[in-house]
Amino acid sequence: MRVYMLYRIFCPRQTHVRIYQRGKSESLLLACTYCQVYQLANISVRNKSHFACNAGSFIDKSQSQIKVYANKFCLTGKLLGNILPNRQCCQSINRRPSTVSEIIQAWVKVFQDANVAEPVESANLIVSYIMGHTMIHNVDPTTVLYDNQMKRVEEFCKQRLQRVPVQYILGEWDFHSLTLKMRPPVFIPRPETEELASHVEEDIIHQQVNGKLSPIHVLEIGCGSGAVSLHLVHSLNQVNVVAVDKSMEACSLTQENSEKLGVADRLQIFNLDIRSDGTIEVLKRFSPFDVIVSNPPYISTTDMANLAPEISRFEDPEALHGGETGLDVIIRIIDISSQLLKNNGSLWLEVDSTHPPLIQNYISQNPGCDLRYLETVKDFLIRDRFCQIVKTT
Amino acid sequence: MTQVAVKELFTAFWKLKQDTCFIPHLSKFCCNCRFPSIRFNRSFYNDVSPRNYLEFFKNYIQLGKNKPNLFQFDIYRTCSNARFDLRTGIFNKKTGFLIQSARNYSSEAPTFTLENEFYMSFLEHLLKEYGEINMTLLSCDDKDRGRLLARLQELGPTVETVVRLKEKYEEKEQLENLQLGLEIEDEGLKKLAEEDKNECLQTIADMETQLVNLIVGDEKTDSCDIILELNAGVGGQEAMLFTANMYNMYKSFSAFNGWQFYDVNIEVAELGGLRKAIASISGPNVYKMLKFEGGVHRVQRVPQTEKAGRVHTSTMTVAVLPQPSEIEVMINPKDLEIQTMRASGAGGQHVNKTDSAVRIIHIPTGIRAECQQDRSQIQNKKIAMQLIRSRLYEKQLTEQMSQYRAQRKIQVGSAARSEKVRTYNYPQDRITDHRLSENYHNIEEFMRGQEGLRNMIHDLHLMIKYDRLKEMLENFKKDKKA
Repeated sequence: MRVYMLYRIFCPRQTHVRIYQRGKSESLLLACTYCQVYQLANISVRNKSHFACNAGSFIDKSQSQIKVYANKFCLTGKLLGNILPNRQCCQSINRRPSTVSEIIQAWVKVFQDANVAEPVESANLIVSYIMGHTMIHNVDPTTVLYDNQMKRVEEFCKQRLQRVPVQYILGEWDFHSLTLKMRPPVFIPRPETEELASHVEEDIIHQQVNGKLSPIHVLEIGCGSGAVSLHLVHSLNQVNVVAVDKSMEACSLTQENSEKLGVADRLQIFNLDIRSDGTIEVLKRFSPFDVIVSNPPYISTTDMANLAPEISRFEDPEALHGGETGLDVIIRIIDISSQLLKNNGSLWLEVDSTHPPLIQNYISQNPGCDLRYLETVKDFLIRDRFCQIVKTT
Repeated sequence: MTQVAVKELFTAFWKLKQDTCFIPHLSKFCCNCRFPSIRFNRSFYNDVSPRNYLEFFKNYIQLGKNKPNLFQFDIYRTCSNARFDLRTGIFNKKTGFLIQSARNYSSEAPTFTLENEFYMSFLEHLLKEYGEINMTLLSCDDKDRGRLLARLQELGPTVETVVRLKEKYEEKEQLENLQLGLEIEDEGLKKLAEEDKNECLQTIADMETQLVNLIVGDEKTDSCDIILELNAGVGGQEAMLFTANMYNMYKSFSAFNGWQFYDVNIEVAELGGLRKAIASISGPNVYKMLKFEGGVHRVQRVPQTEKAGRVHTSTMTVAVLPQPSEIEVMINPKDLEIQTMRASGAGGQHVNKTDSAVRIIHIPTGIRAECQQDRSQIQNKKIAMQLIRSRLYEKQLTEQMSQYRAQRKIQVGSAARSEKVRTYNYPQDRITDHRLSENYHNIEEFMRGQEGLRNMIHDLHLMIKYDRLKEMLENFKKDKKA
């Protein structure tokens, strides 16, 4: 009785797999002529020299009985019959995942074992990015990855194991309808920031409807990747934005993103620290502003200790840490806003949910700053998140 | 229309014009027309002259018009790609064209021409109403005025068409009288009169179709954009594969009609096929064209996964939801519960999550919508809101429609969304629409989402239009008795 054993070798071009017998020894050499992958298999074979097979042959998952199907590429071209497996060799040829769904499954398991946050989402996003899409449902799960794609997936996933945020790994993320470049250590915009941008957008439209004809001047303090400024400039025509950030990396990233979107002419970027004294003089050259918007660092010192590794290790702590109570930068912004805002112009802030009463208190104790606390707006999870403050004289 | 009548008709034609003949694709013709007993000689296939068919069928159209209870023929489509143009007589000789019996409505219902006395009295009634409104408008208070003016506007075009139709009928009568009065030798004049009469009849036919359209009218949602939802039903893997086929069909149908097609949410099954697909389609007349697609679609075929070669029956469902503008559906933000993955903790800068999926629940109705189309959470929220809005609107519409149905007892209409609407039988290469109770063929062409699908939709529209009109007439009859 003849016994044949055909193994599927997991390389991207399965049609090129060839199986060779090595002399009279009890081993087979499996080779892919396309990508030069060789694997040795110790199987007892009493057979002719070599034959080609392709994806039509497979190993039954249970492995108690192997059915070998061969198609027209095989020399015999028939169902070759049931043979008993050599348990050792089944283990020696480890099945390497090759399709999109298999790879995702494999990495999800690795992530889960390593306790990485959002294992499924991370694997999905990385693989779909490498396959040229943003979301996994646009990718056919049965697609077989090329070798270079496999390498990139592995490279990306290894970064994820180091807890690098997915946004930094991919180097881009979506903000409203825009896709923006992301680069460590520049702060990654959160969904709440998207909401902040929407509120400011509505406010500007409201001002424009109420008879303001000349362009609206906006100042963004702490622009980070430039998300809020770019969304405003991109979605509204009559808007000019001045964006400042104390970090050089943030400024150059904002510059790159604005050039990518082709709106650089309406967005001026300055590398300034609002806590230093000369800053206000520079900004006064562009004042008065109709709107000032900021997503300042607002995490308190105690909370800073409890951040997830994705945030604490990779994002700039300067963009997160707002002093003992988290109010340091916020107070500074409020102080300079009263000098830079136009009458009835508004200041929009994203803050911690404990901050609004404190801010309200601060403003009422400083009547000299000509500001009025207008309202607290809740975020999509019904938490106090945004403050609107208006300048009055 | 009985089989015998058609048989006679063709026999007559056969005797009349031995040299030219008709019907290139016998099988298709027979099946589509539901006259499987007709058989033709092989010689029928040869020596085809399109012009002659045209003349012949024009005659029969006229014949049908003159004897409304006997026949009514519509030539309105070809077997496959080339559409037959009645006026120029141009069509693809290879594919040939079909005649189709006017559907079951023609066999039972009175045809809607002015020669039908009852229909005429209905029209007269409309004319009278129009006149009365005009009179009362002079002496009514402001409250009623708006309502009356609206009704007047509705009736206006109908009345105008009826008046013009009447004029045409007089013209026709005059021509007939002229023909009778002419002396037999006057061949030239007679021919002229004949031509004039034919032209007149053609105009009348056109105007009568137009009149039906005017009376039945459009639904106010007809111009809406839609959200199309496809769900795999009974039948596991096979149902998912079929859902993918249907998805492709509607996608190419949108391209065929020049509509814009966006994927909203697609769940691909691991082994191929689609578990679920939601797409938004926008363009002119989208809802009007697709509203009868909603319901359960059944497929009978040997699945790709089947080894023993047995035919399986699987189903999938289609829902077509008109997409309202924001003004049409007002939603109180307090009624909405928004769920995201960031639900716990301090939020904001404290958290960095990549899961952007959003689920919105409309608390009073329990309607929910999910979206994870985009990496931006706010974009997902926008889309989910749109879905919620569409579903609420759909619900309101269904409620309205069920009231409407209770009043009018419309058996088949846009309200019949959840019923089995169509069967795709691959082994027999047959598509049956259960509302038309009609068989269509060439599934492959049909699944390409072009002429085949459009023709079927056209047929559905025709049937439903006539059904509505019939309903209106019956109501009128009842009112009259009461």
